[in-house]
Amino acid sequence: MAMSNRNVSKKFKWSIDLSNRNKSTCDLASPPGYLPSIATTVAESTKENDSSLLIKRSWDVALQPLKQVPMNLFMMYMVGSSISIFPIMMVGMMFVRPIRALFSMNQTFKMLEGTQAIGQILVYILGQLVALGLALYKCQSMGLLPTHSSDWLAFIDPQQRIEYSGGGQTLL
Amino acid sequence: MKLSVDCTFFSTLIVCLSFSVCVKSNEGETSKEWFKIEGKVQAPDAWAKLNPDWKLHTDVLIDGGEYRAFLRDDASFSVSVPSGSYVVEVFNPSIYYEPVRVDINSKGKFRARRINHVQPSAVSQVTYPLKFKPGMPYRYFQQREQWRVTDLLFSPMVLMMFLPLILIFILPKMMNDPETRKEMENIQMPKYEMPEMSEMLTSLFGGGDAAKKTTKSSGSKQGAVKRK
Amino acid sequence: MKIFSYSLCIVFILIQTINGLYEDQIGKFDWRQQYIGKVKHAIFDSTGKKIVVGTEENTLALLHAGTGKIEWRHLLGSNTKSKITSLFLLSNGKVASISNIPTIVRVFDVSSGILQWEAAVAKDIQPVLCKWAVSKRDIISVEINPSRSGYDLVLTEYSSIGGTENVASTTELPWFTLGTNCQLVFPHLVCLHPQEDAVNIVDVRNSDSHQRIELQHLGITVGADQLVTLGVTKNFVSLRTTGTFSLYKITDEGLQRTSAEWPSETVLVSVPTVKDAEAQDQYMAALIKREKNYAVKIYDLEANQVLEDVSGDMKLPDHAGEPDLLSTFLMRKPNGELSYRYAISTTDDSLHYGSKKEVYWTREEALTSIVQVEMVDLPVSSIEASIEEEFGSDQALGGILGHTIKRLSSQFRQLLIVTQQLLAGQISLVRREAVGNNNKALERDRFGLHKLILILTRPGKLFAMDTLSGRIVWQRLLKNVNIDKVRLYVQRTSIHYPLEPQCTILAKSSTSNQAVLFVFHPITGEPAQFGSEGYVNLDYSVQQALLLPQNEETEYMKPLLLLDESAAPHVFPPTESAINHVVKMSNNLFMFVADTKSCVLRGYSLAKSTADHLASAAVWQLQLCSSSDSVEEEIVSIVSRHPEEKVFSQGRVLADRSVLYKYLNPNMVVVATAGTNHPHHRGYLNLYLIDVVSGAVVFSTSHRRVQPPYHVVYAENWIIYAYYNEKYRRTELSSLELFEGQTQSNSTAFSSFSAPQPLVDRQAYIYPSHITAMKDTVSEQGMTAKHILLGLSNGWIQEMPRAFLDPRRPVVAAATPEMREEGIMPYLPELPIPAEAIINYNQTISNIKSIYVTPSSLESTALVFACGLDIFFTHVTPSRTFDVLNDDFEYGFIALVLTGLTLASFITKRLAGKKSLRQAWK
Repeated sequence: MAMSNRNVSKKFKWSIDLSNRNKSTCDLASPPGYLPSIATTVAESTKENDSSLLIKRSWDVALQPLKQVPMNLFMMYMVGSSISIFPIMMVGMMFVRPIRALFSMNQTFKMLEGTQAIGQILVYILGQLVALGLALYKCQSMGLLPTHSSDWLAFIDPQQRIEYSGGGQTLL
Repeated sequence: MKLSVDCTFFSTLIVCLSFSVCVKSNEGETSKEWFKIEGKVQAPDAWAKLNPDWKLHTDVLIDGGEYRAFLRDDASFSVSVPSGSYVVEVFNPSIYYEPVRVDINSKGKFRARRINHVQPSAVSQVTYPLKFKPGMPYRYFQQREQWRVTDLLFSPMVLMMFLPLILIFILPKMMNDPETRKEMENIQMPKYEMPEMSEMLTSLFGGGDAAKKTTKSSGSKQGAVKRK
Repeated sequence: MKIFSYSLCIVFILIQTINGLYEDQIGKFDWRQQYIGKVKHAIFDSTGKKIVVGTEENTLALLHAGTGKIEWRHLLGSNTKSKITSLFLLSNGKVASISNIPTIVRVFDVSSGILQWEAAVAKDIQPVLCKWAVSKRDIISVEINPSRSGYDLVLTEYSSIGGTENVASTTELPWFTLGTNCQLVFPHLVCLHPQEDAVNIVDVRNSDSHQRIELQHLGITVGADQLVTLGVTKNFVSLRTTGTFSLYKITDEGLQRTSAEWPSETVLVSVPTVKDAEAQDQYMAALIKREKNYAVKIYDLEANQVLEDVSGDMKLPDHAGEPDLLSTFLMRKPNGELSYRYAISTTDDSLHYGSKKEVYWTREEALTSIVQVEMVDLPVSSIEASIEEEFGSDQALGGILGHTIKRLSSQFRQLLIVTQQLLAGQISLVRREAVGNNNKALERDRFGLHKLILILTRPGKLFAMDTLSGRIVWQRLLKNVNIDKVRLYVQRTSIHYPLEPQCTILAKSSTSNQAVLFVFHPITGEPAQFGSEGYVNLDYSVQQALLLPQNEETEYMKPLLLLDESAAPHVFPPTESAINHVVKMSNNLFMFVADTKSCVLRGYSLAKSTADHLASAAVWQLQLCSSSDSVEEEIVSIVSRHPEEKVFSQGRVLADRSVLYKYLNPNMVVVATAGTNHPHHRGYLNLYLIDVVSGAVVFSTSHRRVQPPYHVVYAENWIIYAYYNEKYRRTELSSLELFEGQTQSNSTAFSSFSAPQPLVDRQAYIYPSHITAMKDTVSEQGMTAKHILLGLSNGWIQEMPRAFLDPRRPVVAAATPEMREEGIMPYLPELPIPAEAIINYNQTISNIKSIYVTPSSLESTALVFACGLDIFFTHVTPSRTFDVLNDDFEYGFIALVLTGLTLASFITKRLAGKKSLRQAWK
């Protein structure tokens, strides 16, 4: 222990390492009114609340995309539907976020543990899809989606000519 | 006794031919009388000195070239035409002259008016014999866009980025200046009447409470003194 | 009013977006050449340094004798019927020109060209004969008019100073009959009827003096079928038969023969203008035809002999025709010798000027009567030829190794060529080269802007001009052909290396009615190896010809399908591959022939053709004109789409994002017929859109109270035509656009037999000037916007965007925001003519007759060639130059900024590193 202390003290001259070593053999008497069992009960109580808190937190994570939807709606309305730099940036952002989240789903699923995990996963995916759907709707209102026949006009080949004709004024 | 308006010549010819066999003429020279449209063209003096042969390059077109007239030494012209309505256009490649419509009725009365293609029967008369005053020179070419430093300095992106920066740097310096501070203080801001309103309202609704409050506060003050 | 001004503002704002030229672009890619026309009258002035010229194009001009340049010129009238009948040089330095229809006498000052006075003679009846002459003070006109008892001679004298009429007298001519040819040698009128054998001379001032002289007394014996022709040269009268040629001087006693011997091969005779005024009628010049060249002989009439030492020979270039006008000038050189100058106009409309030594200059005036123009590509340069060679050959030379070796060797060769050219300074690394470099080889340039213009003219002369400089590369006169209805076909261009390009001219033989084909190489001008020197005489006459599309089988040669007078088809070149190609296509080949006078259109199908026997059958017939007697109606123009035209987009996008599909019928033809003398409508115009495969009239429209000139332009799915509205006295442009509808009937193929009925949108606009020619711009892929080029009567060519003539332009009250979104301007009845839209700025072209447009290899640029009295060539960029960098691209500035920024970034990086280091040490 002394060795470790010395090592620690070499790093920072005047700092004291206050890391918890309550299992260490200390000769000093504990201060009056200190009950060593309290810490354990506190720990136990936190452990008990852990699971419900965990579920609550995972629900928070699962509902996060859905919470962002109203904010996105408002931003969409503010930005407008002309084709200029800010709307396109916004639409891009709205597309990229759900897609990135959908691709990094494995990481978020590690956080979502517990009995209601499957439901949370589904809700999360649903939320991301709703966000994606919102981005598509914005695209459609800006007219970027090729839903009309005029969007496919450039790919139409010219009609092939079946008959060949010619002539004109008589040259006689 | 000019050629085309020679009445005696024509009358004798007509009398002679009235008993003759008519030869069918297929051109426009039927028994119409021909009248002279006369006019004068002016050119800007400085330009005429630079281009002394401008009269050679100026065409007078009647009805788009159906009849043509040429300018004489004094820049006047005359054309013989049968009766009808004609557009007289003086064309020079450098200077614009406004075209004029001349109506000649069969009796020989001339009327010159401005051309209005949209409302052809509108009459806005112009002096006859025609006087063509020079208009603007034709601008055939576009100007090249010159690159100016102001384009770069006053472009919206630059303004958006640099103007706030400038303001951020300048304003504190303005604030630190003691003179400006004095001026700011001297500016008399109109005093808001809001506090008066609130006092009025409190006195209206809760006047009694105010008295109780004062006694309570005084009581607390005494208590505090005792503990000391 | 408010809405009107608002829309006017929009229009003017949109006008500013029309592209125009910049002042520094003048002369970079455009040039103009001025001409005067075929010379009919040429007079040397008294100094011999200037020639006064009157031409068939109704132009009076003054040429500088030393250089041939035009000092001044006047176009006396654009009416094709009006002509200059006589030209006289007056003694006071003025020239008098007399035109007919209407008869006008004009006197101009020779040195300055300014009109002195003008007098019009209004005639009630056309005289049978009208001759003019000039005396010392007066201009005299002698007319023979029909009268009660035969014919009258009317003499009118006009003062040469003011044009006032002095004397008018009438004499009876009892001996005159129709068909008599008279010549006026003031004061005598000499007349000869071709079937009589006597010459009548009358003094026009004295009605009693009439002499009748038998030809035998003059020493001329006329055979049974021989004709005697009477000519005049200043004050001498000439009588020519097939074997003799004699010249006479007219005195009061009669004709006095000049005793000089005139050989029968004398082609032309002229009295030369002499520098010293006393010897005016002393000399005579004659042009005598020899085998290979011509001889110019000078006769001294007083001494009655030929001046052999003054006379000389003259050789005209190969491409010149026979001389038909001679004008000479005699002067005495400082050492006392006489020397002559001549100006000769030949049948190919060119004017040659020379002396005994040589021909000094030639003016090619055939370029004023251009019939057809084609612009052909030039062959590839030697570097690119080697590339083509490498990739074109499909021999397997030892597999990969062989190909690698070939590639390396060809690239090494190319490197050598490039370094050679660089050293010789022929490659300009940065910009396009300026015009004026006459030594540029006839090679294709990178953008396809260097082409060869093939020009076919009315006298049968073929020119090839370089587009960069306007210089004539080669010229050729077609021999023994009748250029009445002639066509030029480009059968193969030079893009198919190593196959040689080939062009064919279809004309009629001058002797019979049969067709003659002249095949030649367009770049060198040499005749091809067909027939005799390129002339292929066919033993049938051709009523219509069609150029078929090319493919690899026929070695990229487009077969020419000829339909003879009995509607039997023939193929040229008659190779097996061409005939097989035609037979393969025969089921779907149709031709139509239109007779303009009787307004009949006939359609033929070649479906029954086999390899042995090509046959055609008449399938449909249309009679378009009215059959009433009083009305004269005939077909005015037949316009079809360019066979290789590409349409880029198949429909038009509307504001609600639906598509209006275009009706693109490749077999549709626009036929315009015009009638005059209608009892109620006077002049009228009928326009028919006819599908020439099925014979169906797709659409027709009619305009009443209209007058020529009529112009029709047809491209893609729209038609624009112009006419003169007689009722409101203004030119109007009417525009038609055809659509299939919101759905396409057949998206893969178009067949005329199952074509839908189109929807037609139409609208008319007022144009404030007079149009003499109209054409649309073309581009290779059809992507560039189409602009209409309008040639105006004042010499301008205006480039108008087709959007101005869109039939969907709404009236202002019905204008919706969707219309503005589509880019359609609200309707304004009058079209503007802004000066920026004039592509020939101040280089006006007199009397524009037609405009030809060809695409270049650049999608944005089209080459425009306009012809009339002058010719003009330029580039036109309807959507601005979107595929090349602009001329004013600032290479230097951008390079400077880039290097500056890179330097700045390095410096700041260094400074920032230093600063952070300093911070870390604090």
